[in-house]
Amino acid sequence: MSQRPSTLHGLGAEFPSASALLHAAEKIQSMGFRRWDVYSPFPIHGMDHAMGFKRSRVSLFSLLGGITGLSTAFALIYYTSAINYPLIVQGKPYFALEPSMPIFFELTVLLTAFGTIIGLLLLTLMPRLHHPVFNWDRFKRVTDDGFFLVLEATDPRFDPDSSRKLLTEIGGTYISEIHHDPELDPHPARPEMEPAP
Amino acid sequence: MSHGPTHLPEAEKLRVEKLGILPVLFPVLGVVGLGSALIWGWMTNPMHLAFSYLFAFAVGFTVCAGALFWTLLHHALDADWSVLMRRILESLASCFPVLLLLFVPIALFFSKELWHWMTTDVSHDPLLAWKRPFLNEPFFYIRCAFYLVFFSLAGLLYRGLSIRQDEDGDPRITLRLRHTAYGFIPLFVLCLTFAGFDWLMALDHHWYSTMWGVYLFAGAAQSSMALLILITNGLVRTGHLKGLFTVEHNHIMGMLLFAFTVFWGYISFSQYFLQWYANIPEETWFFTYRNTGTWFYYSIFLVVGHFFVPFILLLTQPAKRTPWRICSAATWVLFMHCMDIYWIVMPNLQLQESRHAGHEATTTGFHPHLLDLLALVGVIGLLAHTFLWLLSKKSIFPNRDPRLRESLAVTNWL
Repeated sequence: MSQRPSTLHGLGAEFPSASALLHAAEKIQSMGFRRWDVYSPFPIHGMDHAMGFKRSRVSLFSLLGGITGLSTAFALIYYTSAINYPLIVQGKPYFALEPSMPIFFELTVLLTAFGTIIGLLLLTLMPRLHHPVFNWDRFKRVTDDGFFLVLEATDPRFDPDSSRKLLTEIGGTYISEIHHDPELDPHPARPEMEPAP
Repeated sequence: MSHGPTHLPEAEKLRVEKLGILPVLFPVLGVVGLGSALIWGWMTNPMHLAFSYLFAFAVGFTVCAGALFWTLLHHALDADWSVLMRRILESLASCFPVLLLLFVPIALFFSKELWHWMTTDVSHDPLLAWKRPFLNEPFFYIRCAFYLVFFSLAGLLYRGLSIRQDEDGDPRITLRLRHTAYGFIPLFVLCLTFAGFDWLMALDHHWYSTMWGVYLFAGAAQSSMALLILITNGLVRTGHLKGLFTVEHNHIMGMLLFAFTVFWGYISFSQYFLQWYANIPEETWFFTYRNTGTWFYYSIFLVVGHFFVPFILLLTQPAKRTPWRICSAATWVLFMHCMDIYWIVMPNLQLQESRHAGHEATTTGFHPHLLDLLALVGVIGLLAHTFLWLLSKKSIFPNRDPRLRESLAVTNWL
């Protein structure tokens, strides 16, 4: 393993089950790692807690979206029906809160949803076309029956040797280096990866 | 999913000595409040007494109906989180026989004071003539008896069978109650809707709203959830349900209280909105009357206090998971529910007074009266005493329910 450190994305390990991955995540979290992630075919209940996630900031985007929606609705109704083209219908006022409420509500909800989606995409750095973990052959099983944990090399606590030992201790198997550039890492023979059939 | 504790908890009795003065206070308040209201009101102003009494009765009725609704819903949906709190709901729903007794004075003494259609001359009121097949005295009393007997029997049935399961642990009782709930829910909806029509909407028999039943239901479900939050947290504060009741239960109840706050806002706005848009005189009358004089400020307070305040109080997760915060919100919701019923019932007093005086309906606005408070305290005291008595007789949670383990281990996966 004599790769230059800059091309190393991190160390990946596979775990046999969802609960094994959950316990591994708890241990990694308790050791103070910051830049790491887990991957599984389905959401695992309690993983947020195990990974020590703080409250997400998506709700801030939702709130901004909601405020935008409400003010858009107000401006739209008020400008069109009371300023631009005032018209008396059924003896009702040009502008009244009652008929505006459904529109306030709808546009608030709509733009809150947009805000939430946009916030989610921004915070998760989506959409992106590629990720270094796809350079790892074994990782393809993540959409089938594989449970993976990847410690990233940019973590201050990351050290290729001790981290590999740590992953073994917490029950990880098929521990492999994952590189940014597949050309620099042309799937070298990793005999420990594939057990004899 | 997660698994509960390996050993199911033992049955737990209410420790009455831990409740301080409440077990003495409630019957005293009930007897003194109701007694003084009846005597004083009867001697000074029987009509005001009739409306105050109906207001107090309607508050008690809606809260107990809400408790019956949550019990039925628990069974119909095969819910697990609410098993721990279900005995409280069952006991609240079993207070209906007391409400049946409390209705007797209304039927015997107050009905002619309350419902103008009973005394008015049909030949001068073509609108009422159309409604005669429904609004006539014999049918009215048959309906009232049906609602109250149905609610009483349903409450007693659900509590009784649940208690039997405490003794024999038979899981078939759970199935039986679930199947019964499927039939009872439509009956419950019809009874609540028509009780609302008969007792509250018919106070002004020209006025009608197709959303009336669901409006009352929203308030009933919301206020009984608020009461459930207060009772469970009160029990926990006095050392009950130790190690069983968790913050997750508070969170779920808080979410439901929040949901029904929004639901009440949605329904009450829709009711107002439709009538505002249609602009039919006998419909808009209800709202114009309640927007006259100081009633206008009362109505605005109702919108802000019944919807916006609890909406903001309950919006965030910490608000539902911190006991003092959720309890403050629940107390406020219960207070606003009383204000809501007051807003429904009491404007009709001035309407009725102007009818009797023979002039155009006018209102001088909102005038609180000590009789209203005395009647409310009396009815609540009696019901609270009945509730505590029922709760103290058996275990305060169904300790052999098949889903108790799941209820104890419930989490919200934040």
